[in-house]
Amino acid sequence: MVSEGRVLGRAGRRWPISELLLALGSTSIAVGAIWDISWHSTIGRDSFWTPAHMAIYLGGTLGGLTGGWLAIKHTFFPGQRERTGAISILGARAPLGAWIAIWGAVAMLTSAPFDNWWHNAYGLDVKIISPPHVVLALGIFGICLGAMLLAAARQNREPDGAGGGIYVYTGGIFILIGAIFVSEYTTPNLQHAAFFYKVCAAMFPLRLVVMSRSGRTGWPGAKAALVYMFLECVMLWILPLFPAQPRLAPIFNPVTHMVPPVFPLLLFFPAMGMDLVLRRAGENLGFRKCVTYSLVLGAVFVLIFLAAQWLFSVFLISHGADDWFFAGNRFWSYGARLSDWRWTFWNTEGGPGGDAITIRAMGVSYVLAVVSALLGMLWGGWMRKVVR
Amino acid sequence: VGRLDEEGGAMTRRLAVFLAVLFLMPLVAQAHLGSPDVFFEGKIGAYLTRVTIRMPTVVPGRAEISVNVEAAEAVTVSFLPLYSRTAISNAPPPDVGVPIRGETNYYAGDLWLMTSGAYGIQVNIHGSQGDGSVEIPVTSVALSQLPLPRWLGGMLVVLIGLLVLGGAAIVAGAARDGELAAGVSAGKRNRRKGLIAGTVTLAILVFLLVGGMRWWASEERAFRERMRGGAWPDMRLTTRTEASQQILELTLGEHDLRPDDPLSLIPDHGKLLHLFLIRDGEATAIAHLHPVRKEGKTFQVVLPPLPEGRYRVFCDMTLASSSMSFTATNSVQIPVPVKSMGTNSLEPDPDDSWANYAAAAVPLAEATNAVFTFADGRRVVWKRQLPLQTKQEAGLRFEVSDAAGNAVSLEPYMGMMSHAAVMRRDGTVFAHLHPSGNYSMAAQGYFMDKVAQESGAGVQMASMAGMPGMNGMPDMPGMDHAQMAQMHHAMGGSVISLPYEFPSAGDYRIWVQFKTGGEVRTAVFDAEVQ
Repeated sequence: MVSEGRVLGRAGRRWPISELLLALGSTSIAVGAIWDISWHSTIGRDSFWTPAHMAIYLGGTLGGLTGGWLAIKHTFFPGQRERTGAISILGARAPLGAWIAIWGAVAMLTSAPFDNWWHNAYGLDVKIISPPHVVLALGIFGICLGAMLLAAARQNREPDGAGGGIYVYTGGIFILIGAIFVSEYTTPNLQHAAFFYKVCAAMFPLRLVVMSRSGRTGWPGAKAALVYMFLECVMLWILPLFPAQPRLAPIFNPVTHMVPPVFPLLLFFPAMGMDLVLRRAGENLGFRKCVTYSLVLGAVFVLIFLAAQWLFSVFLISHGADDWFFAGNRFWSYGARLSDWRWTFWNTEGGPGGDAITIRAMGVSYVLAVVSALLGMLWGGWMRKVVR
Repeated sequence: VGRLDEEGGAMTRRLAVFLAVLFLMPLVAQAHLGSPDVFFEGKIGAYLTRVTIRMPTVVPGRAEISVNVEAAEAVTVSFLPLYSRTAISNAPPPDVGVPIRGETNYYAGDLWLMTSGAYGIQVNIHGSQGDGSVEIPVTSVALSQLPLPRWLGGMLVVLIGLLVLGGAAIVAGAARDGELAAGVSAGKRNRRKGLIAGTVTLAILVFLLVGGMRWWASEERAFRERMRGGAWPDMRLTTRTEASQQILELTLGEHDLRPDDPLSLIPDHGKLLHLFLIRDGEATAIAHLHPVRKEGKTFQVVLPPLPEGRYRVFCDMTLASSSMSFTATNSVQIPVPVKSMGTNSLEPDPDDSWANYAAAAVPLAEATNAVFTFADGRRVVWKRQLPLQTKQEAGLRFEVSDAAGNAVSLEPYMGMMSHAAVMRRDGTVFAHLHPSGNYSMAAQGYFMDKVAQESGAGVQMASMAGMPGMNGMPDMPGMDHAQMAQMHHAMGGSVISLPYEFPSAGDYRIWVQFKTGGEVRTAVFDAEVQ
């Protein structure tokens, strides 16, 4: 762990261009993804060349080129650190983050013609989750993970944890991508039903724990959650400024401006709790300790998250939230037949077919949260140590 | 693919088989009996216009529309798909047609058809001679399975192989070297760790790949179940003799429709069903009949005196629930007529028509100037440009004259100057044509009513197809101007012009029906399409 990497790092402190470019690439992808959902909710017509798609592909290209450039630099024009501090695959050298970003770019490249054929063969985006979209999602995941790893390795190499800020930022994007992935299930009207909590318990503890465990700044999980909330809010505030018109029938809700995402989940609060739990966890933890922590972290997540979202969603679906800041109950897709359902919680009835919050449902959420947190503990523990 | 065989070879072989099946997949089902594209010819406002709508093979999909306007000055063309089940007020603004470079008054654009069902494509023209619009009905259904191009399949195999192997190599490298400080080489323990991590990752990736493949296969199956490419719904045919009549009974949708589905139909030219019987083999006999409902989904019709033999049967209908039009098909053996005593119970439809001719009477497909001569010397001439090409204007323009060569005045037959049937000789293509186009007039009436009702303009307008005037009266009260203009364009004179493009290469037979001197005639032509 201790070696010339640090020495050189201290001597050669410079702008971390490649980390910044990869962080920018993953930001572009996340922004593009939110923009694309907005496009589908507002305009409806989709082509390869929409600006939202361009933002996603720009992010992929940026990630792939940055990764490729790092691989070329480390393989053909290495300095001392680059020669000995990279991951070698078949004789080619690059930092781990660069390799994963390249992998992500190749996956995104693979999905583009496949997706195009898919539309021609089975219809224009019948379902969001289709095989070519999963390949695309894996590619996006690769770019974001590459950005995280590049920043993590630098943060772990530098004696004073320099680069921790970029790492927390890329972690925020990582949470954001996860939130976009499950956005179909996180509408405020669904936040008094059990499925919402199960989905979030599976998705978010892993991401928050990874950040909390491996970030080298104070409150890393909470800061990453804030990055997520801030970026989502920025999209929420900016998108409705742009006039747009639906171009696909049937139009039940004649929107006049871009439909933004809903107000972000209040992940900051459970993240604070989890940061507190992991504050003095120490460098190396055995599997047993990880399990013990996960049992606590799962409970912390479920309890704080339930309390926060339960109350906040009551506010969000009320008239009180109908302002530019919270935009509660304000923006609905052009295809929505607006009626009183907007002001109610959905699927809250019990019994078969219902999705009420029961002890059993919360038990399932807890188990999911524990498993998710455990994976976060194991992965985050490794992320603490990666230096290449 | 072979490179992946170190892990789960059987699985990758299944991927190879699956991809191979996709490559080799033919068009398994034919569009609306092989002829999905829709053509319109007639007046829109003051402008004589020809519209071609090329339908997508999937839903949701994009249709391509082109509009050719006969006008000296430039006009503005716009189009808008209206969905049968949603209010027109919920439609987006129309799209303006983009002029095709190098052409005059020829416009093109895309139509986004997002749902299965019936759409009325509203075409609007705005020019110095005034405005006009027309609704052209199309049926949006998944038609066929698009094969995966070889290059794309090959590229997918290479790239996915790269992702699987590359992913495993990256994880192996990360596990081996990731935690080592610069300058420290991986020891035996780390190399072992890398190997294990790489192998496990490879196994996971191959597992995911197989899962993805199965997922793809299940999407493929679901798509095929939705596909309405061929004939629909199912049709059972039986014949029976009652008194001196031979009766053909048909039951529709025993399998494809729910038992409680009442099969409500919109009459087209005043008839619920248009049935074409075409004798197999030399196809020297044809009948165009109009069955009436017996009960539920069962219909019956008196058979005209047709020679015995096996007949292909095509049955056109338009559903009232959605205004979608479909063609059902099957074949039936028509026996030698047996006459017996008794009272006939079923009235033949006065608009039923049939023809029986010698095979030698059909003009040769090679003739540029194809002439069909009736027994009384009347003639139908098809002057055509050979060779006939797929997806090119077929030039179905027929001149009718008497034995002396004088033009014959045509009368409307079921409201049209002509009804024509086109069949590819193998039966995979069948289309029912009119001078105004090859769409269902009943479905057009449905959309015209919808526009009139929802815009509040034409309160007095009745459904066109249900009007008594449709059966032969040139003056049709209740029709809107667009419709009248279309009719007038086609009426009078001795020339029949049918807008159509042959959808695929092959040998076709065309039956052109018209009425003159109170009698329906059927001329027959062959066409070889390249």
